[in-house]
Amino acid sequence: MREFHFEDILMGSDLLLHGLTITIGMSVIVIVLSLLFGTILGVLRHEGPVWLARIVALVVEFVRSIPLILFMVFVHYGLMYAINSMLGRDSSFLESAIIALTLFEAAYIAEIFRGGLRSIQTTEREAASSLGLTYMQRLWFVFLPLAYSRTIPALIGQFISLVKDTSLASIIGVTELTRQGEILYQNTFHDFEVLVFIALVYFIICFSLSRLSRRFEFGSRPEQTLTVAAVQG
Amino acid sequence: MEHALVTAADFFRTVVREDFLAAIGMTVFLSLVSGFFAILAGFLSAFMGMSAIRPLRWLSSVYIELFRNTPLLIQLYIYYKGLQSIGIILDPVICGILGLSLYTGAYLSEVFRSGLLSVPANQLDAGLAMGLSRFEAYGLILIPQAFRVILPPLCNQMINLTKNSSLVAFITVEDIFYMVYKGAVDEFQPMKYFVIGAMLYVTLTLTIAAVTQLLDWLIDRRILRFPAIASVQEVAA
Repeated sequence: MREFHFEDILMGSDLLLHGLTITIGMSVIVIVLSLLFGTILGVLRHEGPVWLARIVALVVEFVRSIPLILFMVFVHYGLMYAINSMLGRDSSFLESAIIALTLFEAAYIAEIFRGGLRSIQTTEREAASSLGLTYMQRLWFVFLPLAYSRTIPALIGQFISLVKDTSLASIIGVTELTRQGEILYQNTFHDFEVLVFIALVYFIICFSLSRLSRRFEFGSRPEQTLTVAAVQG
Repeated sequence: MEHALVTAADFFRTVVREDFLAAIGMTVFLSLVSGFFAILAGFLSAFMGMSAIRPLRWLSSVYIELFRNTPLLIQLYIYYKGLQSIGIILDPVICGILGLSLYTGAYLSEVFRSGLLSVPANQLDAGLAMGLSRFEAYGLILIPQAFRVILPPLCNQMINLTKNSSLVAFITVEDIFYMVYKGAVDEFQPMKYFVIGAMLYVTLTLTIAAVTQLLDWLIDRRILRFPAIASVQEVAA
């Protein structure tokens, strides 16, 4: 055993702060994009024509049954390398990581969202139809708000996984929090202190998110107000 | 440019190699052993979480929150590189098992707790009223009933565990992903190795799902019975 050197973290605070910015920035971008893609995939799988729903189901199930790191390595060294060499430009780690994470998380969000759509009852669908809304109106004003409000806790749970998953981007070379920490302890040789500190930073982000989700879980039924607001708006 | 498709012959030529087969064995071994310890940790934590003793409940929620809210990769790094830097040297495979079990156990703890809570409370009361001890009531009445509820999410977590086991490659354990990564980077054939890796992981995932279905079916048909249930039925008869 040796003495602990937590002063390393102060010394490398610039490095770590830079990493944290990239981790948070990447998480926010991926949350927005994967929510968008995931919603589209979920709707296609649940509401689309049978042949399309089957194809979406196959792709979603495939992505969900392979490890993220395998997918990310494939996207970076295979897909993005091919695309970039065709376009004649250098490949960027960050770009690959964002694309890989977005596609991967979208598959999970699609499944969560499909669950939300499935929870919409026939009576609710009939009520929407009897108001004389077109299909797109029903989808936009009734089905989507209902499905979203019912899946908020599950979606936030997925976002927590997503924030944790951004740590894998360090493997393909993105200088986010984990990678910056690695650079720091490769210089100071105090791996333990730096790693525990990084774990703490991730913990603060993810724990706050999980508290947020608990709030929605035990809150009053938000779906009613949301739906009414959507129909009125 | 390489061709994107992997022929069956190509697949077998790559996979049926001693080092690749050993890697598949490593992933299966890690999944089974970590799965066992994760179930143990999950049960322990779930019972602690439902205990009447406040410090135990507190300990259980600290465990769950701490391990669920930090990336597995960092946890593995702490056990391997972190402990090494303060002079505790563990075998990478041990680190992998430790990391995967504790991480999955935290998720399973919630699964088990909600499963046990899904059994109506009067079932436990009825058991106690019949003169069973609390330990017997749990083993004979609560756990067998909760098992049906627990089975699907348990299957999910086992699938996650197998997929997550790919991260041990970064603490130098030679598992499937280690071989795939090495092949993709060294031979620069990312497509070929991606297809091979994906096929192997999909096969493992499907196997876990199939075993779960089989278990469910066997319990449904009463072919597989909990020894506890059988003994209760014997007592009743």
